[in-house]
Amino acid sequence: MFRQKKRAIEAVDGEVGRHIDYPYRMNLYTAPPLDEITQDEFEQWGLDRLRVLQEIDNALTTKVGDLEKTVRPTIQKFLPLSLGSKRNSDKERKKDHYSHFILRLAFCRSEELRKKFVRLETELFKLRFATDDFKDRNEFLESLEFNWEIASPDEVDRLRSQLLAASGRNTDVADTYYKVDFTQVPYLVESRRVFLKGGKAYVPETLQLTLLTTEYSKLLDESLIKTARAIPRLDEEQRLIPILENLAEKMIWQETSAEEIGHTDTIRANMIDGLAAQKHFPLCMLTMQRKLKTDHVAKYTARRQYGLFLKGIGMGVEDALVYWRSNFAPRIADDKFDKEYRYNIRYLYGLEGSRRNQRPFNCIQIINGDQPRDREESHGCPYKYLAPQALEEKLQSMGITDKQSLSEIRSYNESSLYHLSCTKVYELTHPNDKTVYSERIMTPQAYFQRSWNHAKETPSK
Amino acid sequence: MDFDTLRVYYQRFFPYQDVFLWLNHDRTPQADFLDREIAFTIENAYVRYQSYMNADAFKADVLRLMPTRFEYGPVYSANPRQRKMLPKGACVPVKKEFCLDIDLSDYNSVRTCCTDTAVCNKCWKFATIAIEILNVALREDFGFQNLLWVFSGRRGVHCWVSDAAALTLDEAQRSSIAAYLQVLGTSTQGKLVNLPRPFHPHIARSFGILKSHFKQVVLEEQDPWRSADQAEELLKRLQPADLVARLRSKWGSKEIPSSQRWADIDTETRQLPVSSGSRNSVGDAVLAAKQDIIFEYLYPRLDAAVSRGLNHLLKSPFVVHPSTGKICVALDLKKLDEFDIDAVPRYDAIVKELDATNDITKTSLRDYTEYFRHHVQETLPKKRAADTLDF
Ligand code: SF4
Ligand SMILES: [Zn+2]
Repeated sequence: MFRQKKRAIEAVDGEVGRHIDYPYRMNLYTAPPLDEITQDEFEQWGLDRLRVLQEIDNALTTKVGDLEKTVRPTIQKFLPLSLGSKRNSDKERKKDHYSHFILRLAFCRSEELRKKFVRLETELFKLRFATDDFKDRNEFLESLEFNWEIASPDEVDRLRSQLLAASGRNTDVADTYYKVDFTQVPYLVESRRVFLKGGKAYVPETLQLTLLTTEYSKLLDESLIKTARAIPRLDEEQRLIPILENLAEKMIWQETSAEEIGHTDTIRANMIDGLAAQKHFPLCMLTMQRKLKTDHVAKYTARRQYGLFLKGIGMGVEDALVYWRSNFAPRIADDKFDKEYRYNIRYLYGLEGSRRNQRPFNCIQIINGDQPRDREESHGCPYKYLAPQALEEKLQSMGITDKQSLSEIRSYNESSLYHLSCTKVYELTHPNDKTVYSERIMTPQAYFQRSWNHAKETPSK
Repeated sequence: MDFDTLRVYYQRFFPYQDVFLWLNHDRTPQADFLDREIAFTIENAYVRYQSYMNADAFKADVLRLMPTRFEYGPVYSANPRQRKMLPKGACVPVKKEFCLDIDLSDYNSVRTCCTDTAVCNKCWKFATIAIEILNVALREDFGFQNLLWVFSGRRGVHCWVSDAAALTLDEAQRSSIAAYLQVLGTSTQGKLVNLPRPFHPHIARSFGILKSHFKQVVLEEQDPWRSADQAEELLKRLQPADLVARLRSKWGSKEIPSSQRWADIDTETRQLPVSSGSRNSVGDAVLAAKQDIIFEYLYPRLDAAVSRGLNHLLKSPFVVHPSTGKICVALDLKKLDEFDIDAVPRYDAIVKELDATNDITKTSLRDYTEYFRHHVQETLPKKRAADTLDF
């Protein structure tokens, strides 16, 4: 069916057809895909890869300790690439290959998107390389035609003491050194991690991954520029344009703070309790709103998550001060509020301290961040931290009672797909919202936004 | 400045033709000169984005504008004079020499002979050592061959690297060279020297050079720790604490030559009580501290911003320095040891010399311009027989 698309991708990379199979798990994506795929696959595969990249992006910005561990579940779900036996993995490899090229089309349009795409794809590449099995990896490396010159054993022998010193070790010399122009490995030069001689950098095998990833980023960046130049030819492909734009927009969505993409309504301090009661808040924000209203408590993380959420949905700083002050009272007296909390709230608005404009958290950040340790803390994602029983009771109190929905949510939670639970809850609590959303809830602000827009469109009862 | 005399200098002495060849990297005019930005400082105005067809046109404009100084920037992708008429992105920097800048005012914390803008032959040695270290690193490590070192007119030196491979470096690559060569940290509080052991080959080689000069240049001539107060600067950099305590009580408040203090460190270290097995590690720590001090006091201090930018402008060789009147002469490294900073030719002096002899080849600038000419001829592409057969 999809003849035209095939040509689109082909045209963009300007290479002529040959049959591609996938001998290695790793791919440098130098050859464009040639087989036909359906429009649905086109869209779904693009989305799935985007999810993986977004997850990596989130993990990088929140500076999680172990990147691989944090993003593994998402990769497993949306873009698995099994080790070993090629027969079973051909389908995965094909999806990996195609989805990469689909996103290229979506992200080549602006320099900013391009840079981001290269950065995230490079991270993904590194993760995969690190988890690849030894034999596969070596075969893959051998298949590459980078023409890295290998220093001869004689030369290595002659330079041994310098090579050792450059590696910062006294013993245990790697036996293979690649000789590359120093201009290819600036970050190894600047940190003096390689021996330099006559303009050549001697890169030990242990640093091969760095060499490979630079090469990969460079290739990718160059091909994206080429793709961008060729993209006007795609315009005949009417059906693809909205899909590509949607993909690009999702990437930008992540970049933009909520107040920029949001509605233009102003949310006033005295509206909040009503908004929460009208089911406009996702469960996380609802929990924080209730804790604050009934116990007058919001601990540090809750103040940040909830405070930035309120800012994100359109509350100004003056209203925020009014809102927090009245909700902390009577537990926290006015002068104590002025002394201890005023600054923090203004800080969230970029009016104090580093004056950085703080972005509201998205779901992945909230889900991967820490969860409440005691009853006083109210931050975090309830789908994650509540025990199944407690969550069920909570959902029932929100009017979600049918067995089937509850078990669907439970199974999402069991696979750590909390934002799917949240999306499901939105659907169940907004049965009249017939808008077809192309994506799941990915930020609490988006949850609010949907609900708010929907309420504005339906005449109130 | 006396502008009439200056005019004579720029009329008769400034080596326009050699500068043209040097910037053009070839004999017939090509983009490297034609699309090269030249910027003039005229009293308080700064005129950028000038460019010329040839050496004569360039000379004519210098004489017309009588700038107090002029600088060279990058080669652009189109003629920089036309940049306003071209679409955005059509006139961007594409090539430039890789440059280094060393200024002795960055050595104020370690030189005792002069302060601020002043400079003498004693502290000029810091510059000489910097040249020695950087020259060998650029040649041996990075493989560059076409290097021109230039006195910057008052208290520093510039280096211009004109190899084809250097011209096309991007900013990340330029930064990487600068960082490779930059050993001292920039923080005023933090530790200035933080070098992993074993030394990287560049560090090891540099250390060899520094060590050979340290005794004379630092200990004897600068003598930075003579008074008891000054000695605190030394003690501050040493460890362990009991060694520092022994040295402090031994020295009291006396004035002691730095070389004596330096020697005392080893003597006292040897007399530290042996707490079983730790002798070696104490010895290592003292040795490392001494090495760090040598780096801190002598290793080249670079202004990295000049190296990093593709569009950073740098003063022309043979310009007259507006406040010293000295000429920014090119330095022949073979004669670097003989270089006398007090004897650098001044524009007014050589104009007088010319008046006296009426022979331009007999002034004290002659050696420098001859060296420059020779350098440019050496580095131009060799004339090949085939060239003449082509047309
Ligand atoms: S999925 Fe997102 S919006 Fe929903 S409760 Fe969790 S953090 Fe909040
Ligand atoms: Zn001096």
